[in-house]
Amino acid sequence: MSLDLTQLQTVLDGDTDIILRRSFAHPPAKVWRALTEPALIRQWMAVEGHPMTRCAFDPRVGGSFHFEWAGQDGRSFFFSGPILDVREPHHITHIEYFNGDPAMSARITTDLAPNGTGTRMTMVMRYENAEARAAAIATGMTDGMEEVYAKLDSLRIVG
Amino acid sequence: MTDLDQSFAALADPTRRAILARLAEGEATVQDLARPFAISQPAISRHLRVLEDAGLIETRIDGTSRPRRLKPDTMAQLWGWLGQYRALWEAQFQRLDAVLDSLPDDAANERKP
Repeated sequence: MSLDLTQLQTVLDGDTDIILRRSFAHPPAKVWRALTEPALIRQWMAVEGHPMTRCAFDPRVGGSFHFEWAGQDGRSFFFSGPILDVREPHHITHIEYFNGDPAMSARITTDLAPNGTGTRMTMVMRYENAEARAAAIATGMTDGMEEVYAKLDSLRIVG
Repeated sequence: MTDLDQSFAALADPTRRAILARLAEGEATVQDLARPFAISQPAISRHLRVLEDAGLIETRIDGTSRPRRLKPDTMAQLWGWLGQYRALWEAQFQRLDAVLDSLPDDAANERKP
């Protein structure tokens, strides 16, 4: 399977932000469920060879989330943090820490706008500074990404 | 890692991205670059220094002329990196597409707060 990247818009905005935009064929209420119900989250966040060992999401202001995977060498890695703002089914803001490290944190704002019969999602990930953003991009490349690497062989990356 | 941090920081500025886009068409001097951007040559020189320190461009010495050009290795590494980051997300979103396809319409549409 080759990975078509034309659906996904990625913008490095200013020094600290990464903006992802993508459309889905289903309405916001459905996308909201897939983003917030652990049974559904597990289905799309699991990476081949790296089962999710913990998946909790409490989409309420003052709630929190915890996504954890088993790493290659028996060590696990996880993302977790507080939920700051919730307006079902259109908006959620949360803080994400990587392996509980406050130095590796991002404030993530997700907006789901109706788009015809589907949804246009805009996700803004704001890091502390340019270095933290670069580190986040790099970290995504090092843990449990064999599946993606395998697909990359068939990709032609256009800047 | 440090080099790439610096590269991403250098790319955060729209004028510097525009300079890189211009250099992607071929090498250019400070004078060449200052013309389309309507900013002073010293300002262009400062941007060029940031880009050069970040390892994104290099200076060729040609008599009294100092044309700048892209450093292909760093640029390729950077684009490759971003491409992999994008591919990672897109792979996840395609699995999300499949989850959405599997959900019943009624339950989703009639769900009220």
